Amino acid sequence: VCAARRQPGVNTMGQDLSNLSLVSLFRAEATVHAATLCQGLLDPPADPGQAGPWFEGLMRAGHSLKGAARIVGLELLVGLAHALEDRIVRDQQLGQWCDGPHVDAMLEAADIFAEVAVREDDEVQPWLDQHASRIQRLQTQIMAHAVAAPAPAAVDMACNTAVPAEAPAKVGPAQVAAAPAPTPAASSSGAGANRVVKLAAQTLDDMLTQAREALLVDEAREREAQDLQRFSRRWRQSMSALDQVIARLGQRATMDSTVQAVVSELSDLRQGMGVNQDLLAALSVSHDRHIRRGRLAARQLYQSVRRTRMTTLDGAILAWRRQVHDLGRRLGRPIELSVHGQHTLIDRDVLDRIESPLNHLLGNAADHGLESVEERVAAGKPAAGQITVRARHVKGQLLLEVSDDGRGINLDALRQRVQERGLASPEVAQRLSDAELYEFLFLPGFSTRSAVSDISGRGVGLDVVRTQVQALGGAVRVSSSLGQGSRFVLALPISVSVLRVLLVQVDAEVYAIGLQDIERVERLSAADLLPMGAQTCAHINRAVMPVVSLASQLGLPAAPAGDHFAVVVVGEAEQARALRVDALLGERNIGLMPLDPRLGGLRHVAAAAILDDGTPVLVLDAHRLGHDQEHGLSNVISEASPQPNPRKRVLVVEDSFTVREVERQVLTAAGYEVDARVDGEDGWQGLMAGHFDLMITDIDMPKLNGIDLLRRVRALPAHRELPVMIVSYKDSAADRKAGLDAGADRYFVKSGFDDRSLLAAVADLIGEP
Amino acid sequence: MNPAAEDPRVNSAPTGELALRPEWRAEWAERLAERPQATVQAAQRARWMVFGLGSMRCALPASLIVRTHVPGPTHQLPGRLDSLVPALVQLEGRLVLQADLFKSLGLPAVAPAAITRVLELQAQGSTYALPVCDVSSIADISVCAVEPAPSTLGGPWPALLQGLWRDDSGLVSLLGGSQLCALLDANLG
Repeated sequence: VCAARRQPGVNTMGQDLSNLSLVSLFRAEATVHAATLCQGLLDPPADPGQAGPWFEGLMRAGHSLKGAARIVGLELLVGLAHALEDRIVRDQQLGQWCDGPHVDAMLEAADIFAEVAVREDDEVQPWLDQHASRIQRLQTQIMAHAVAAPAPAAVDMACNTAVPAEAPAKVGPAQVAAAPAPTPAASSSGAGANRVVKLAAQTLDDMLTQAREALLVDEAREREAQDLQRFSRRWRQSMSALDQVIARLGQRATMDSTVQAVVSELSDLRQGMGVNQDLLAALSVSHDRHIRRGRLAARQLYQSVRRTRMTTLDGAILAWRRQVHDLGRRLGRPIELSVHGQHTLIDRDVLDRIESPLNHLLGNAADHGLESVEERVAAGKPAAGQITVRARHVKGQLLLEVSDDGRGINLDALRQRVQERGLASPEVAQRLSDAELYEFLFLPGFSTRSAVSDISGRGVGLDVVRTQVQALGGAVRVSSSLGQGSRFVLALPISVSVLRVLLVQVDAEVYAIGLQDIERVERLSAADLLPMGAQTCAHINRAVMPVVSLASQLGLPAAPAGDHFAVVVVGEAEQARALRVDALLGERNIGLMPLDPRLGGLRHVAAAAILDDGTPVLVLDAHRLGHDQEHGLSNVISEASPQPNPRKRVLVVEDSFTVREVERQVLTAAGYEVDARVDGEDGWQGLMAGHFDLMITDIDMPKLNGIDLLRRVRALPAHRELPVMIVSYKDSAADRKAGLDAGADRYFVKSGFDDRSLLAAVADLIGEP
Repeated sequence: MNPAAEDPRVNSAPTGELALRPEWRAEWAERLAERPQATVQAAQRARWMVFGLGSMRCALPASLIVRTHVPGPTHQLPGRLDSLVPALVQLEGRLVLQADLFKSLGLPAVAPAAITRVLELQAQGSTYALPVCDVSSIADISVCAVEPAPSTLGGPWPALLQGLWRDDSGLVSLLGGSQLCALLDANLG
């Protein structure tokens, strides 16, 4: 506020307002006050002593909105703001603040102002006309509750609950454990005097590239400085040699005039060299000083540009609290949200892109995870369900955890559901470990609930959560304890542009693997290897896992195996595998650079980077390396038995590990040779690399979906007749038509097939193995 | 021989007027829409960057070479070692796809030490780094001085070779920059 007074035309957010229209000014102001109202309404002070400033902050926001709306002639909004202000004033006068339907109405009123704020100027009035009845309804609701409110003798802030209107039991204040509780007044002026400017992301990327170039130039200067020092040393050595020559000549008993002249010239030369040596030394010192300053400036510039991409979780917390508040209201159960680690740094891009997965997890926790009040009380739990969001940096990555203290995941019920859906035979289902069972939760359309609510089961499942997190280079892990609750952990890069990696050497090139994907690093000897059929395994950290050459995974020539070698273990539990590398080169922070999109099909490579010395490095997609065992094993097998295999070959393209594994096992057991690929792009690469009699593909897959894969396949004359079967969870008539129109010969709905029908369809298309 | 006398797709009229027979106008209209640059260039002088590839000398339109660099550090792309675009190269803090011009033209490879310059070619939204042995000159070449490419060439040459030009040192193969990018793009896809 003060800054705005000092500098006319600049608001508290640092925006230059001189060129804005009145409506634009109103919209800018509405953004601030709507956020103030929302934050304040969700966070009433537990201490009645703080009620006064809190009420005043809310009232001021409402009053400011009313005044601003009046100036621009938006009468509907004047009425709504007046209702807000009046309600707050009356509640303050009555000395009581109870959470209830009127808070929802007030929050929705704040939403109205926020929605107006994002319209273009000329869209505001039409939008208001369109929503007039909604605004008038809210105005009535807010005022009606104000009239009906009782008049207690003293302020009672403790009756703030998250209980629905039909069950108005007191269950304690809503807590936001680690979140600060700024007053509305503080937040409205909290932007400070720092100017805010908008920059296109591309501009930041360009600046980052230029800053990186400055660092590389600095490296080159440093090498020049070393050359200069070497040159200076050699110069001194030349001078010493000259001194010795002059001394030897001077020691001669007799010197004719010619020799004397030579000695004299040499002495003059020596003197000149000495002067030059002094100049060289001074130049070297000056050069060193400039290099140091340049290096510092270049690094600070690079760090500053990188920091501009970072933010904290603070800004997102309000939206999470609002979501949990609304969920509790809709589900009719009290829910408390605790947030820990809100000051944790995160890349702005990452934060934007996890919004949807996180919202889904919060919805899941509220709807699936938490029990009803009755169930909780019967189980001896507090009536209010607890959802906790915890953020922290671990090993150079951001761990974002969403947990609840609800019923937990019933593994027996999950196993039963897997069988009922025909996703695994009873025998296979019984053998599935806990981790494998959890994998089914990430299948498209999979749910352990038969009922679909308006909160969950809306077609956006955990599979989308996983896909979105993996698209960021992250991973999702789930754990649960029956009756105690569930926990979903998103392991994310702190920045989409900075990653903590382990550098490894393979075939004389440097590759990087994100630390978040690495379970451990080991040094093995030949004696540690256990031949198991055609493959080689090792016993690492109390688990037996395949040892695969990273070079062979990348299609590079494998170095001769020495007696001792290093392995990098990626993947967890049953999916763990040890990747043999030529050398470990240490950990490093690297600035990620996206791969040229035309290299999208580059197998196992996720991104690129430039090391400090200017060397390019490829960042490996360890998720693929960790989930691509069948391909790696087939490599080993093919190396061991190069004879052509007469069996019919099936290419399975499926992103779900479990479904892929089931299909592979069923087909392999029947005698077909199977190459399983993890997504559409991988499937395409596989198809290009070998001959197949049949392709079985899913539809919903990352990188390239099954329909587009099929279209690409059919566009190639060589594959126009290749039998293709779609196996998908999508079961609508439109989905089936889309698949068949794209060129599929058979469309299988996953929920409707079993081992026998799959094999019958395969045999129908390509015959017996 | 004036190629325009036989092939309506080649324009050699010094005034820039197109020597068209009426029935070819429709085809010309399509051609112009596809490749306006080539047509315009054909009507005037053009600057070409002349460089060496082993014992051979080639040139690319100078307007498409955004910079020349000394060779930077590279990283081979796994699975693409035998392709026309086998590596990434770091140029001034950027990572650029590096193409193998020798392989693209079917020429024998040279020793790494023989590569002294990297051309940065930019056309049709694509950028490629092209390692070459040396850059000898930028030549201002009139279209009249360009000899037509032999029609009997095989491999990628018919698509890439725009013509031949002779200077004091001998013959220079004029390569189409856009056509080269298209060839490399196709190899990537």
